[in-house]
Amino acid sequence: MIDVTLFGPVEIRIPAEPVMSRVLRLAASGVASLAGCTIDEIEDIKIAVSEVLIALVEHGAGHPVDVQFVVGPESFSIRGRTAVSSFDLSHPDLALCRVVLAEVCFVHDIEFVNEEVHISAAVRRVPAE
Amino acid sequence: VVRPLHKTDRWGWNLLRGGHSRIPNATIIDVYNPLDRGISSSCPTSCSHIWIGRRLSIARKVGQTSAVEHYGLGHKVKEIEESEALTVEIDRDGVIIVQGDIDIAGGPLLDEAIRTRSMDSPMTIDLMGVSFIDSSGLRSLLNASRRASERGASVKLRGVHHAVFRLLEITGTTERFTIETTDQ
Repeated sequence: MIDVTLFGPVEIRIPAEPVMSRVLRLAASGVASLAGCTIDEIEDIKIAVSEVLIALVEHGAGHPVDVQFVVGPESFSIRGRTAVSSFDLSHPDLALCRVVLAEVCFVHDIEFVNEEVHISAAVRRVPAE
Repeated sequence: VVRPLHKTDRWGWNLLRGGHSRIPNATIIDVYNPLDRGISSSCPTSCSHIWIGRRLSIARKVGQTSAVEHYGLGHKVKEIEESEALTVEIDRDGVIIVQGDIDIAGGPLLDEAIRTRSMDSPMTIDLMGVSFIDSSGLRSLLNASRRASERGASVKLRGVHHAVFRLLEITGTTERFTIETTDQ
């Protein structure tokens, strides 16, 4: 197993296109696999990544989406952001995203700050022995 | 019988009906009408044909339909819709068969198939080929459930994998469907 925590964050900029969801899941699962995450953890990471992108693409303004994966010894964090002029934090579809994120992540947050929406979500890892 | 692309008339209607009579055993007559942005499907044997997703995008762009494969009197539809990550078919019994990932890209394609399918009878969606679903895909299934319940019908999810069942459980929506799971 490679200690990817030493590499620093993996950053990806993608167009705000729905088809990028699969690309991002593949990238995330690749990084998670490299970090030695279990199959269950990778499944949770894929769902979390997908939910982050749903929020940023469906509720964004079509601007590029920046996503960052941060691998730690006890967590796999996903941080996403995109530029928007306004953002409805109480949109019903976003509520469904939150429900799913709350289940697969031990912490998540959606913020609208300085004309950008920021989403963070972290999946807990079982520490390697 | 695999149909080639057909030319369109001056109004953009494709001329599939004309080509139809020249091909033995072919039974489909599907016409895309760009004037009302609708699709007319009239198959003598009452099977359902739709063009949605990428194929419809092509049709909308050039006013043509693309090829569909038929198998004589069995009139099994080979392929109704596909995207890079998702394929949706409606078989002769009206079962919507989904294969691939139902995510933000694939969800709308499933939505289109659900909207197109008649709601006169209980809807069955075969998810045997689906191993990933997110909340956008779940919204498509919930839309189907809502449409069905408005007509006093129900939606049966067949071949539900663990990953799909888990999302239904997380969101507390299992009771909206009749579910047949797989062992996986």
